[in-house]
Amino acid sequence: MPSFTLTVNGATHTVTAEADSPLLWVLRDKLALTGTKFGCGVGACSACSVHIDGDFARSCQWSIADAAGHHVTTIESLETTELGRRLQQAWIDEQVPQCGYCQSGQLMAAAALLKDTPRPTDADIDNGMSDNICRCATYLRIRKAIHRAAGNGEAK
Amino acid sequence: MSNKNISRRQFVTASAVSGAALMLGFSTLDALAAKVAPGRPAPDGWTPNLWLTVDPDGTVTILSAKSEMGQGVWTAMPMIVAEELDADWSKVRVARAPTNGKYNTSTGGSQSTRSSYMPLRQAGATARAMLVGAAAAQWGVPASQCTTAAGVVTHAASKRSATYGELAAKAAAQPVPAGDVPLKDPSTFTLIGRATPRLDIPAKVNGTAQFGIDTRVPNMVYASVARCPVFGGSLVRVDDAKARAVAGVHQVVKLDAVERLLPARVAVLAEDTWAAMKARDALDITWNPGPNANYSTEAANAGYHQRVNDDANAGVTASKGAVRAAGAGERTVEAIYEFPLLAHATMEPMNCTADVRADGVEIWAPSQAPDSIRTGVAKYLGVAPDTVTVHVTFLGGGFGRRSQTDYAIEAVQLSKAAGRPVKVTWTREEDIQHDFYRVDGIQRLRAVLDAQGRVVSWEDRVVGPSTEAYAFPGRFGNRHFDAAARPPYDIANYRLDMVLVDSPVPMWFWRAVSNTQNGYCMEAFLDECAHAAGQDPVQYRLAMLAGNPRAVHVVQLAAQKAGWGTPLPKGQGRGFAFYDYDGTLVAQVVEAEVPPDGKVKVHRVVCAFDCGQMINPDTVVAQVESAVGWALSAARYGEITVKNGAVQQSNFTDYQVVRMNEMPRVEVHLVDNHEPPTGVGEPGVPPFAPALLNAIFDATGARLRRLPIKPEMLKAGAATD
Ligand code: FES
Ligand code: FES
Repeated sequence: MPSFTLTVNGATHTVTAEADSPLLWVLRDKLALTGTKFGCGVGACSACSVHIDGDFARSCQWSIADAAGHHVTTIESLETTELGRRLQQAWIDEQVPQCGYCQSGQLMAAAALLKDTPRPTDADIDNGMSDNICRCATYLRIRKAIHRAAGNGEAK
Repeated sequence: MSNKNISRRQFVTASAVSGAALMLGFSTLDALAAKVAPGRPAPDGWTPNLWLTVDPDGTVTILSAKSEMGQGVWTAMPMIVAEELDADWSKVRVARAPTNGKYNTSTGGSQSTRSSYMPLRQAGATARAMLVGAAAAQWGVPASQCTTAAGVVTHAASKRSATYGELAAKAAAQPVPAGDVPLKDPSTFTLIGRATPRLDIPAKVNGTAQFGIDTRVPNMVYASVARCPVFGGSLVRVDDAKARAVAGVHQVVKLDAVERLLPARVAVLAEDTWAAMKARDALDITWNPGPNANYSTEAANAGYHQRVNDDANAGVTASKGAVRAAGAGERTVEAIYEFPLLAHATMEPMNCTADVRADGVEIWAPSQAPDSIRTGVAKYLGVAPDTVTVHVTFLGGGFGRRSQTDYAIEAVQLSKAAGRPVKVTWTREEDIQHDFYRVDGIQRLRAVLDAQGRVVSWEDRVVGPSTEAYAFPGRFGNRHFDAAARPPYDIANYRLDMVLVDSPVPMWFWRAVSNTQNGYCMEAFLDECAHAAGQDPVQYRLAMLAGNPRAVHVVQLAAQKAGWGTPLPKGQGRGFAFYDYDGTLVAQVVEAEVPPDGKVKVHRVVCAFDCGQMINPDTVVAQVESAVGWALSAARYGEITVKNGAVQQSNFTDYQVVRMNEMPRVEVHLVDNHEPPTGVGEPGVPPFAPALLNAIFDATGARLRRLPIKPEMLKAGAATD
C-alpha cells in the first residue's frame, strides 16, 4: 500500500492506505478521529463534513490521494478557533442536538458558512445548510444557533 | 408497596462496594409496577431502573437504563430522581446502568417517562429521607424539623446544616423506610417542569460523543457484508478471488440466513472499513432469489384492494355497540386510504462490535433493547445470558429500528468466525434495503352520519400485513399493533377489523408505530365526514369530544393559536388533525401551499400538546419539532417499493428526507399540568400527515388518499377526486 502525508488539525500524519480510500475512513479508522461521521458515502448527507484548506468538504468524496498535502480540519479541532467556540456555545444555548449524529457535520458546515457569510440571512442559511441531513430534524434550532453565533439576534 | 423491595442485604452490599458512598438500588421485578399510571397495566412489567449514588464529595450519580437517542432521556430520568432528592443539580451525573437483566433497558414506545416517573420519584424521596434521618440522628433533633434543598440538610432552629456528601456514609446506615415515602406536591417542584439543559449535548458539539459506529477495541477487525438482495433468497456460489486480492483483507465468511432476522450473506473482514467495503464490492456472488422472486409492492397493493370485502377473514380487533347502515335521513361516507412501506434511515447506519471469547461475549451496541441483545445472543450461541455483556453507546437515532437485534447477532457471528473482535458497519444502501419496515397496507373507512352530520357508526378495516405476524408469528392472534385505532371521539357504534395478508417483507416498529398510518387514515377521513356534513372540521371534532375537557382544550388551543378560520393567501390552505396517542393529546394545524408544479410546501405548523406533567419542557418542544420534520419526510417522500423481491431504493438520493430549506415553522403550545406523564417522542407524528392532507384539500379541493404526496398528484390539471 502506498503512503500519504497530510496535515490534520495542525499535526502532520503519514498514513499507509489504498489511494482510493476516502478521507472519511482514513480519519476514522487510521487516525481514530471518529467525530467525523459516515452517513451515506455518496455525498448526499454531509455528515462527513470537514474543512480542507479552510473550505467545506465532504470527506467521503475525497480520496486520501487527493487530500494528501492538504490541511484538513475536523470537528475535534473546531474549538481551537474563536468562530468554532462561538458556534459550539450557540449549539449548546439553543439545545440543538438530539441524537447528535449529524451535528459534527452541521457544525463544520456552519463554520464554513459563517467564514464566508458572517451575517447570513435565512436564505443564506438555507443555501449553506441544505446539503446537511438531520434525521432528527433539528433544523429550526440549527438556524437559530447560526443566527445567534453570527450575532444576528432574532434577525432574519 | 415499593421500598420493602429495596432489600437490606442488597443495600448493604451495594454500600460496601462504594465505600463511603450512599448507594441505593432497586432489584428486578420490584412490585413498584403497581404504582405506574393507575388503572393502566405496566407496559412491560416494571423493572425499576436506577441506582443512585451519593459520593462523599456530594456528587450524585444516577444510573439510567434508558438509551439516549436524542429524546433527552438521559437528562429527564435524573431530573425526576433529583427533584425528590432535592439534589444540587449541578452535582448530578448520569451514567449508564449495566445490561444484566436487572433493569428494564427497553427504550421505545414513548414509555420511558411514563413508566419511570413514580418509581424514580420514590427512589429520590427514599434517599432523601435517609439523608434527613442521618442528619437528625447526628444532631439529636426530630427528622420532621429538618429541611432539604440543593443537596443540603438544614435544621433551622439550631442553625445547623450538612451536605449530602457529608451525610452519605451515615445515611447508608439508616434503616430503609418501610413503606412509601411521601412525595412532593407537584406545585412545589423546582426542577421537574423547568427547561433544563441536556447533559448529553456538550459531548455532541465537539465530536466526543461515542456512538456505536465509533467503537474501537484492541485487535479489532472491520467487516462489510453483502446481503442477498431478495427477501428469502439464498447463496448459490461466491467467487472471492478479487476480494481477497484487496490489500488489508483478512477473511471472507459465508453466513446463512437467520429466520426473521438476517438474510443469507457473505462478509469480508479487513484491516479497516474501506478495505472491507471495497472487497465486499469485489465479491462475485450468485444468489438464488427463492420463493419471493416475483414479489412486488405494486402487486401486493392490488391484492389488498381485492381483499377489502373479505369479511369472512376479517378479525375484529375492537368494537362497540353495533355498526349499521344508513337509515332514513342519514348518509354514508366511505373511502379507502393507502400507505406505503417506510424505512427508518437512522442517521447512524446499523453497526455493532462484538468480541466472542471462550470466557464470554462482549458487545458494543447502539441499542434500544440491550437486554434483547443479551438474551438473543445467549440463545443464539447456546451460552448463559450472564456471560454476555452489552455496552450501550449513544444512538445515532433509534425510531424503533434499534430495538431489533439483527445487527448484534451478525456481529457475534462474525467475531466467532474471526476469533477476534469485529466491528460491522452497514452502508447506507444496506441500511435502507435491509431494514425492518413500517408496514404497508390500506384502510377502508365507512361512516354513517345522522341528520345533524354526527358520526353514528364507524367502520375501519385494515387490509395488509402486520408487524406482530411477521415478528412473532401466531403469538398475538388478532391483536395486531397494526390494527386500526379506536377513534378518540364519542361514537356510539364502531368496529375495527383486519384482513391479515402475509408478506415476505421484514416489519418492525417505526416512530409512533401503527399510529402513523392510523392517525393518517382516521383524521383525513374524519375531515371528509366534516365536509360531507357541511361543518367546520374543528367544530365537528369539538362536538364529538364533549366530555373530554383535556382533548377539547388541546383542540381549541391549536385552533386559536393558528388563527383557524382567518384568511390565507391564495393557493394556501389550512388543515386540522387531532390524535390521542396513548394518553398524550396532540392537535396540529398545518398551513400548506400547493404551487402549480405540485410540489407542496408546508409553511407553518401549530401544535398543541398535552402530555401530562412535563419533565423537561424544552425537550418536549424539541421532540415535537423533530416529529414534524420526521412526519413531513414521510408525507412528502417516504416510500419503499419492492420489485422482484428486492427493495428498489438505496440511499438518501432516492429515499429522500426533509432538509433545512423544507422545514416549516413549528409553533409548539404546551399544556402545563400535573396529570400523570405520558409519552413525548412519538405523539407529534400521527396528526401531521392528515393535517397536511386536509390543508391540501382546503387549498385545492383535491382529496388525496395515498402517501407520499407526489407532485404529479397535485400538478395543475391533475384529477382532484
Ligand atoms: S457520508 Fe459523506 S456526504 Fe454522506
Ligand atoms: S441530531 Fe440526530 S440526525 Fe441530527
